[in-house]
Amino acid sequence: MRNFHLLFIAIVFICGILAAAYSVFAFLSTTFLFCVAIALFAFLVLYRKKDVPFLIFLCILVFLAGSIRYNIFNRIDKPNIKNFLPFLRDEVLLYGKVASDPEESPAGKKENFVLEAASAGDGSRNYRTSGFVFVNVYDKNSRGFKYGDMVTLRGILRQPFSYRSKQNFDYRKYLENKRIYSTFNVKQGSFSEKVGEDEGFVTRGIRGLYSIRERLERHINEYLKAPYDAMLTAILIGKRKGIPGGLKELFAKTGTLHILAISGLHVGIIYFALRVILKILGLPRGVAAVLTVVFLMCFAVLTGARASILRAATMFSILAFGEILKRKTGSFNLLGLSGLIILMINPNQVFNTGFILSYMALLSILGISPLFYRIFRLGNNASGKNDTVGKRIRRYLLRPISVSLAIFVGLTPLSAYYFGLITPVVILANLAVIPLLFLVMASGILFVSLGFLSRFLALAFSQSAEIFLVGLVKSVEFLEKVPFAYFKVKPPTIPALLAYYGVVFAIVAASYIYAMGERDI
Amino acid sequence: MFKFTKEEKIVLIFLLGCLFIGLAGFYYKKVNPPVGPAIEFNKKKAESLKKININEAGWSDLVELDRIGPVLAERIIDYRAKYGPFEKKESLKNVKGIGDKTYEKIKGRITLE
Repeated sequence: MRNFHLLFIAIVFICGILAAAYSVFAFLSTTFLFCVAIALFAFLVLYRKKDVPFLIFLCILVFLAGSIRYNIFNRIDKPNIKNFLPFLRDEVLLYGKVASDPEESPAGKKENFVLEAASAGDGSRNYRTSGFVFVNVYDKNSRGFKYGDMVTLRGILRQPFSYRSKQNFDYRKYLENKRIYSTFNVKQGSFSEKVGEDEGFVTRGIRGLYSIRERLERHINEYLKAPYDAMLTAILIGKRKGIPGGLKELFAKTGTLHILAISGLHVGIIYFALRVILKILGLPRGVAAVLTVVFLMCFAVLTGARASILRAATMFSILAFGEILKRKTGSFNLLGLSGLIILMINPNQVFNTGFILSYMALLSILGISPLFYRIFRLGNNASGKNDTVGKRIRRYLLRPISVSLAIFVGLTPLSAYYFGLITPVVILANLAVIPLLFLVMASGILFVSLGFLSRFLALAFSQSAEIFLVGLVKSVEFLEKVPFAYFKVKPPTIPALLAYYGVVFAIVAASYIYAMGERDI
Repeated sequence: MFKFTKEEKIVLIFLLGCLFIGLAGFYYKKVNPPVGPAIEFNKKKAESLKKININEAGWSDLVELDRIGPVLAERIIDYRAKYGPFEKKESLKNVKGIGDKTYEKIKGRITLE
């Protein structure tokens, strides 16, 4: 049970966030919650020698911490630009810092980025403001800003439209979860001006990473033809612009869209590649671990800091630190700790689709796949020395199938809820696609790292990456044609989802208890 | 079920203490945001946003509007003299030469007050 402590604490923390988000404590002020927390903390210290009271006070405190963190994070302070919407109608001037990497829409009609607003004015009055605004720049002469630029823009400030798609996507809620409560449109013929740059150390570092990303993108576009250049850009650096819609739909129908989105799988491959390289270089363990952590964090920022990448980057970073301290950690604790760190920084991540899918995928692999190992009688050990060839082949085939089945069981209801799709073919698809992804990433990493040194190496590795990408697309095309590969379904309700996961949890828990009982015997 | 060792309890108490102190600091900063003057925009750009009162503006103010040149400005002033102040912004379309396109362009810059 020691393997679940941190996961349990993370779940309690999430419950605290959800309670605050759904206004369970709307009638209690944050100050009051702090006072309750101080009192409970005193009890926690007083009862530290008694297990049950300690656990109870700990749970309540962690729950309160989640609620308080959510309240503070989402508190709209007085200067927030949202409060000025009624006063800033029609065209206004807005000054602030470009707080995200600007992206052009697929058709090139507009460029958008997030602006951290510092001042707004309507010609007669200026207001000091704070908060984030989602900027759409339609004017072609007003584009080309970079992260960290201080800009003045002229346009129209509005509240975001509220619409809900069939797949339960609410645009206004989506922006509110990112603490963006208004949009700003810079129309054709309007003006904008860069007036400076944020010279902060962190901003300059992030700007440097984004310019590396741009350089990598140009390098990839130079050597690979469409759409493989866009695919490799998506797989290596997380930018999915340029992948044709039809291709994305193909991957979505076979449940393999995660291949085109940098996720834990990609980070895992990079982590192990790094370890091999650092070991070959003969660096001391501590230095190698620190370099690994720094590289993973930079990689997470470079690729857009999505939830799945952050999850993987924090997990592997904790693993690397564990190596320095020569301490092992259980997988569930690792998952719980990475979740706690991410939610402490940004509690709204709990509503992020990528966060939910990423953690559910890993929970399924860790929790449900042992059940399938037992069903297929694979055992928990790697292949033993005395195994027959037949047994080894069976193990190598059935292990990945068990993992794929576990992910299918864990993610199918969420896939139905968010995308309106169930993709049974994903069980087989992952077996073909993941080894190909490994080959694509290996060639891609060699191409971007060594390709800058020599044109011959760039050509060689880019061609091999392209061959593997062709193989990937052909496999997915074949799988899409398999009978009953996918079904479009009506999204299930939340109670139905909870009931499903309740049943799955009960079966998995029963299986664990049974397995522990067998071990004792 | 979830038993913690003595060392784990000490670490948890320490971490929770730090967490709540940090949260208190964040909360204080949120409740007391830094106060300071707003950035002054470039005078020319700020003036380009000023709303023009179409019932009081003279010829030199009216020509500052997009697509309103000297002739249209004169026509607006003549219309006002003949029919009295505009009661609605849309009434500007009654002036010869100001159609839907011109009105859409300037409606954000005009006011009746």
